[in-house]
Amino acid sequence: METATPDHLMDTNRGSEVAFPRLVARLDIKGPNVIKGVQFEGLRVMGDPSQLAEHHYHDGAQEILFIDTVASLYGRNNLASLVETTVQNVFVPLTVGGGIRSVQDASALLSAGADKVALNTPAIKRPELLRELAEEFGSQCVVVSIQAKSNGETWEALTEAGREHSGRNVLDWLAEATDLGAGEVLITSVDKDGTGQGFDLNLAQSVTSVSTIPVVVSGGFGDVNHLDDLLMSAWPEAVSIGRAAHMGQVSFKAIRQHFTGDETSS
Amino acid sequence: MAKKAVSIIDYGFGNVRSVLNALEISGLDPTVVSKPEDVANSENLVLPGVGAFATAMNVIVEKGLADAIHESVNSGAKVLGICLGMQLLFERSFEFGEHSGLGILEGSVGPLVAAQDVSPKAKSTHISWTRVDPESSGSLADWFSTHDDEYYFVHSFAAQQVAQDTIAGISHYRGNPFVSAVEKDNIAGVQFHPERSAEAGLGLLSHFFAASVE
Repeated sequence: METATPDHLMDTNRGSEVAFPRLVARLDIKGPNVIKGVQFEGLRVMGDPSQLAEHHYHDGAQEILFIDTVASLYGRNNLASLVETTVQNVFVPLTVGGGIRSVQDASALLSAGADKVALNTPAIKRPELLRELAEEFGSQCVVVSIQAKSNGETWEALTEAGREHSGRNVLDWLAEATDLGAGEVLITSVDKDGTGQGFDLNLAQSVTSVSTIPVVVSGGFGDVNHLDDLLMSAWPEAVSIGRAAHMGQVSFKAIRQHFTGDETSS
Repeated sequence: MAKKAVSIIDYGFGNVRSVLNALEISGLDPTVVSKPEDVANSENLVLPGVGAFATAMNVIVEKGLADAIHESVNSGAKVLGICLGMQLLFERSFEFGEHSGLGILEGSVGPLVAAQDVSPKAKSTHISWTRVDPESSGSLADWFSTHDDEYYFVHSFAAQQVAQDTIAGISHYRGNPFVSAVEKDNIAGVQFHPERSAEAGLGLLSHFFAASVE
C-alpha cells in the first residue's frame, strides 16, 4: 500500500511508534441543522445532526464532534437532547462544544451521553473554567477549542465562532489552557475552514510540536491528498473532517483504507 | 430466549448512559444499579469508570459497593471492568500516591510510559484507536484472536505486575507494550472503551456476557 507517511512515523499499531490519527467527523450546528460555512461565513444547511452523525459513524468515523456555532452568541445551550438522541445509535466518542459556561452546563451534556466537552469563547473569557471542569470531570473530558486566524507570523485566537478577536496568541493560550487542565486541543484554522483547500500546515506543525496534550487538527480538509500533506509535516492525534464528508465527497472508510490498506476495520 | 440481564454499577464515575446504550444494542438487558444489595445480587456486572483512581475508590468504599462487588464476585458473577473500572480491580494504584484497589486481581496500576520519545513528543494522555493482541486463553482472548480490530483507548495509567496467566490482551503505546485486557475465571477488565469502540466493541460485550455460565 502506497502511503506518504514518513518512515519514522510509520504505524503498524503493533509495537511501532505512534497510532494513526483518529478521524473525527465535525458537525457544526445552528438550531436544528448541521451547517457549514466557508471561513465561518456563508453558512449553508447540511442536514439533521443526529442522522448525519449516525451516517458518519456507520461510515467509519472514529469520533463525532458537535459544535453549536451560535450557542455562545445567544447564551444558550440546547444540545443535551440532541446528544441523548445521538448516543442511542452512535458508539464512538462524542465531543460537544458551544455555550458551555459552567460546570453545570458541562454536567448536563456529559450526563446526556457526551464523552467530552469543548470550550472556546467561555474559556478565553474566564480561563479558570477549564480548571473547574478538569477538577470536576478529569482532564480527559476537557477539550480547549481554539480558532486560529493567521496574522502573518503567528496566529490569533478568535472567539464567537470566528467573529470576534481575543488578542490572544494561539500558542500562548494553548500553554495556559494546558496548565489549567485542558486534556486535548481542537485547533481550527479559520483561514482554511470550509475551503476544502487543505489544512494550514504551518499551524498544525507549530501546535503539534509544542503541545503536551493531544491535538485535533481541523479546517481545510477537501480530499485525502490534504491528509497526506498534513502527515508529512505534522502528526496530530486526530484530524477533523466536516464539509467534504457531509457532502459525500469523501468517506471515512475510504480514508482509512488509503492509509492502512485495511479492508476489514470498522 | 430471554435477554441476559447485566447490571451497570453507577457510582458517579464513567459514562453510564453510553454503556447502557451499548449493552442494549448488543442484545443484552442492562439496568443501572447503585445500591450495594443490587450489586451483590447481580449475576452479570459492569464496572465502568473515568477519572481519578483514589477518588473513585473512596466513593466505592463509602457507598458500601466494595463489599458488594466482592460478594458478587465470590458468588460467581461475571464482572467486566472498563477503563478505570478495570484498574480498580487490581490491588493498588500509584496514580498520585499509593492507593488500595479492590484487590480482586493480582497487579497494580502505574503511569503509562512511551518506549521512545519520537516526534512529536509524548502526550499526557494516550488517546487512540489501537489493536489488541490476544494472550493466553479465555473469553476475551478468543474474541481478540478472531477480531483483529482497533479499540478506543483514553488513559494515562495502565496495569503493571499483572499475573501472567490473567493477561488476555496486549496493546502498544509508542512502542511500549501494556496490558490492555485481563481475565481470570469470572473476572475480566479492558483498558479500552468497548462501548465507544464501534462494532468490534459492541461485539465484545455481547460475546463476553453471552458466554457467561448460567
